[in-house]
Amino acid sequence: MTERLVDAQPTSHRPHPGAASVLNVRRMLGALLVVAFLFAMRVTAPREIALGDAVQDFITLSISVLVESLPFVMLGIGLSVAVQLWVPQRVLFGVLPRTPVLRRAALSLLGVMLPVCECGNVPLARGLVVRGVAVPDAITFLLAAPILNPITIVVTYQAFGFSDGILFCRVLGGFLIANLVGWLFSRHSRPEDLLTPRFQDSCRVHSHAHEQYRGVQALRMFGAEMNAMLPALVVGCAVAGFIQVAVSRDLLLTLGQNPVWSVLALMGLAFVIAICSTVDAFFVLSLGSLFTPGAVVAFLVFGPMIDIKMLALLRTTFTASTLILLTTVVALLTAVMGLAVNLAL
Amino acid sequence: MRFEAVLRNWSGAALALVGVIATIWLAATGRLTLYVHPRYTLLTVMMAVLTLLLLVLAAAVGVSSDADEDSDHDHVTRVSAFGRLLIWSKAAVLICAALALLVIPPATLSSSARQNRELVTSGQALDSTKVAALVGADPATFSVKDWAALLSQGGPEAVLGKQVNLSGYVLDRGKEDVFFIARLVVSCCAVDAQPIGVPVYRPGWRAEVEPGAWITIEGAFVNNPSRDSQESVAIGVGSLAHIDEPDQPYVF
Repeated sequence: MTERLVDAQPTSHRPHPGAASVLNVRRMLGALLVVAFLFAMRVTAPREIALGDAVQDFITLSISVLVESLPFVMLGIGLSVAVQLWVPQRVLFGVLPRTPVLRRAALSLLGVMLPVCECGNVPLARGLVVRGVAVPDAITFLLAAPILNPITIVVTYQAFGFSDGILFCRVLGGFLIANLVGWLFSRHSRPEDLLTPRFQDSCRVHSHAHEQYRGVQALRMFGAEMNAMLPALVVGCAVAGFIQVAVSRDLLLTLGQNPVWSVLALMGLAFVIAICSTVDAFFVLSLGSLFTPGAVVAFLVFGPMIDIKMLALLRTTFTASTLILLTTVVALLTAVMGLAVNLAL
Repeated sequence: MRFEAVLRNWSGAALALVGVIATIWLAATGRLTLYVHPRYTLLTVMMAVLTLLLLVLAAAVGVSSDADEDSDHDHVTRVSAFGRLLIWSKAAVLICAALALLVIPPATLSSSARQNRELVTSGQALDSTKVAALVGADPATFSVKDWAALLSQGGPEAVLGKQVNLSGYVLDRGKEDVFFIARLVVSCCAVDAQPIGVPVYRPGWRAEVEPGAWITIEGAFVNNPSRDSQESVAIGVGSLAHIDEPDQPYVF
């Protein structure tokens, strides 16, 4: 591996010689020094620092969300790089139906094959867009994949079985809402405008970039993707931790039995708590039989699609106005579905 | 300018580095489970080590020529006040993350967080515990969660008269002669931690222990004499002592 990377130096053509090119031993030693320094910092840090309860809990909860989601984000970035570099365009588009509606339906089932948590889906969706997947299609994938995902379905089944049609409503509702929203965004006259200018730039850069060796290119894409996602992830985790400390859950939980308010309350909870779609079923179950089935369904459909951490991650890719529109539409559709479940039962 | 270019191209990688180093250290010192459920330990550690390797290689390879061009030409002309603010706010995020993850010692949820959450009264935490395995096992080894599950699934008859030896924290449910001895049960990460517990009958307990305090008790399940609380059985306490917070305060 190392040799191949070094070999690449003379053959790769650079626009100007000073530009960083290939495996550079000095840089590598520098990176290892930084690693050693950070480890030393952690090991030698004081054993006790007295902080107020609220501050300490904010830090503990934020770290907890970060440590939980970091491996999935890495997995998503890895898959994203793999899709961009190793899945040929004709294979990707060969298997996808031509008709947009069917194509989005197919993409929303992609989660079945790629069981990554919702935070891992963001880098993967970015990879798909770079590879030429239409923006509305990528949105459909983003919304559907965390729900139409084998782990999520099995866990939801374990938590609820077939009672109250919760599993059925979650899967079907997730699929319908994702496709409806995808269709809605496909009516946009210039779907690229939904993306941030920065991400549009990087789409163009990626489609031109040609490295001699894919390994080098993969590492660079890995670094670039990391650079885009991580600040958003860290800020998202901090906001999620802060809200945990600042917002009283009891307020949301007292709204439990009202058929209308319970739906909105659990959607609010899903938004602020930002937990993974693979475990949220257990979480909502442990809140007790306090809530109406419609509220539980709304929690299980809305949470994987939109929450505070997801919005921070999505902001790396979509403009703020796109996200406001997306959140509003998904929230309305979920609320309607939750209320319908409550009325029907 | 050069420093800003480094920040722009590497702040995300640096954040990831801080995150994985903290993760590896937590796992090495056995404290990763203060943040996430043990079932994620293997995946988390594997991904952290892999990421660490990739980050070092990525640093050695450098950013792509396109990104460099970007920094050398485009941004000099295009860098706005807002753009610089964004770069420096990334630096601020990096410093805060390094402080939180690498300087501040790992902690468990505070006693106020432990009091403020709803008690688990149903669901996976209680239903998944194999009660059959508990029947006939040595009750001295039962955790708070085991007892709560037994009580929830088997009803009062399953526990009445059983000897109990438990450690947990005092959860105040607003009753004068009954409190709960509780632990936080984590189903995914510390964010979803919720108290799980069993009632303890101890008139005048408020004079003895504070809500949130860590205690160990010995006693046996009795018919709850309290008129004030709804639980039909509770632990009648033989002895009660204060303890330090355990190294692993959570149950899974």
